[in-house]
Amino acid sequence: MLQARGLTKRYGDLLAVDDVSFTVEPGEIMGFLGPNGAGKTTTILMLLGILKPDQGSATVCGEKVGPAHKETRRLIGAVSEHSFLYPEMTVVDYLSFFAGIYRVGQPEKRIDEVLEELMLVKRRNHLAGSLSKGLQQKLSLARALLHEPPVLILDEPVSGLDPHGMREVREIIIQQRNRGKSILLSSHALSEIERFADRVGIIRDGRLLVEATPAELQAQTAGVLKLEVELDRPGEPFEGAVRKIPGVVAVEHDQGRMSITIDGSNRAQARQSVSRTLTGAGATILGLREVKGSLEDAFVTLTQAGTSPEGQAP
Amino acid sequence: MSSRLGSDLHTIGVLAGREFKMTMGSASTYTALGLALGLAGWMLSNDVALVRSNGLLVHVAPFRGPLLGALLVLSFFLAVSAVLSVARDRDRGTLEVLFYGPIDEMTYLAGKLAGLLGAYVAIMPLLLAGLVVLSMFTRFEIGINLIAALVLSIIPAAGIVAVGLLLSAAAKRVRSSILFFITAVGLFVGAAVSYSFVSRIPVEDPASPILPLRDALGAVDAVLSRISPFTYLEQIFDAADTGAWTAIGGSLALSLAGTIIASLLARLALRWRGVRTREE
Repeated sequence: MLQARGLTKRYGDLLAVDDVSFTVEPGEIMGFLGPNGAGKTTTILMLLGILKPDQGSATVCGEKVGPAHKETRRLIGAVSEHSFLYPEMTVVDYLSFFAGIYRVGQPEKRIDEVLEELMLVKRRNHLAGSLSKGLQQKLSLARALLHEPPVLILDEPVSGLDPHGMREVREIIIQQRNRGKSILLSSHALSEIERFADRVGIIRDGRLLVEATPAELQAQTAGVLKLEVELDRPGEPFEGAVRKIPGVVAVEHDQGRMSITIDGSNRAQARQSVSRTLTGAGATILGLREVKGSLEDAFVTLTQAGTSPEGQAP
Repeated sequence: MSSRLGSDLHTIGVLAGREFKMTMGSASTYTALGLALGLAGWMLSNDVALVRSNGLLVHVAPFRGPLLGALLVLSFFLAVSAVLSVARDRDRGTLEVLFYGPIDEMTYLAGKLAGLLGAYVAIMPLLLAGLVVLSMFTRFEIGINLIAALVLSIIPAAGIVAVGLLLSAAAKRVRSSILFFITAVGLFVGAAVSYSFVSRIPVEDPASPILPLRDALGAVDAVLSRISPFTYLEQIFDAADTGAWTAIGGSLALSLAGTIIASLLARLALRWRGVRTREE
């Protein structure tokens, strides 16, 4: 089990992480989301025991984590956004080195198992530096799983992977959850998080805004209307006009398709406002439809609108 | 407590093993060895030429200078390797990944120190073999005292590595670690050269500003010489030359103390600088 209790970290005047608390139970995947600079990495570094929190504490399986508790780190397997390998080492030498550091019993057998699990067997004698970014990321995951830790902290584990690789890594993460591991998963791929996270925590400006299941989060955005409008020409010139409509929190456009997220409005009135504004700006609307809210919508709404809905972290 | 010590020693051993393999597998190690032997050979050939032209034996221990020169080259190489090591790990992120595991600043630095010293020890037989070949060609004897000094040079070499690790731990990136090293070498060499230059200026007027300048440069040079691990390497050879074993003991003790102080400072520097170069 991974627990964060009131984690707080300041860098001078900047409050990077402010009183963040959550628990990841055994057999659970918690998605950890936040815009860039929200405090995710600082939180993760405190959970890994690399940074000392100014206040609060973190524990893994009841053992305190921190720079002075290096033995606790044996209980954690971590993957960071970048692979950080020794490019001059072969895959098998790299894993042997870390097997030595973590004092893995029967290292050769365990390395073979991990290579098999991550489908890296054919690459065992390749230099780490010669692998593609996706394979390097897999090798990092292999290193994190090598000592069979009860807690996994994965920062962007599918970064750089092709769709096949993403599926393989997703299956491995789910397998690890099924084996009872507590997994904290930070990712920008919200669809990934939505697909297999049991709970999601969203952090912004150092504060944990919300901690809930993906379904609960989507329910929280039930008051949010997402409209997809098809136009006869690119939507970019109309973005400014649409943004002025009260309640609009996000506008995206891709050629003639415009996606508008509107917070807490009367649905019919919102549709009318959008239609009227676009027509008034000279656009011809070919189609207008409501789309089901996703985790991404919840994320955008929560992190852009600055709301602090129900389920806020203690 | 003992299991924790055992665990730390195991980790240090694994880290040292990697550092050792990396150093011994690098072409630059053998280039440094080649340069060291080349320098020794050149110095000996000068002596042979002098003997031939004057019919005189120039030194009581003709291998003292060449062996010391060779060891200074190897120690300098060791210092550069140490200066690059921590900063390179930090630069490419491997330092952060190591610290995900059961590693702290002291075990990490001890692993680096042990690995680089291991490489130094492993190079010694190769150096000695080269020197034996040079001895056969020149018919100069190496002498048992110098071989003892060669073995004892491990202690000042540890000090040299520790200072290199300190500079590297304090630097944010590889290029700044190189800059720190060049500055430090410039400071030591600059002080010695300036003092030597000013000392040679003839002064007749007791009110000449050269005199206080000479005193000041002398004091700076004396202080820097005292903290330079290269000085202790030289002192050991001087003492071995004359068989002054008590003096060797003193130099070794000071060298060891310097290694411990530099290692502790490196630990503080690493903690202060942190394991990553990137900010969120």
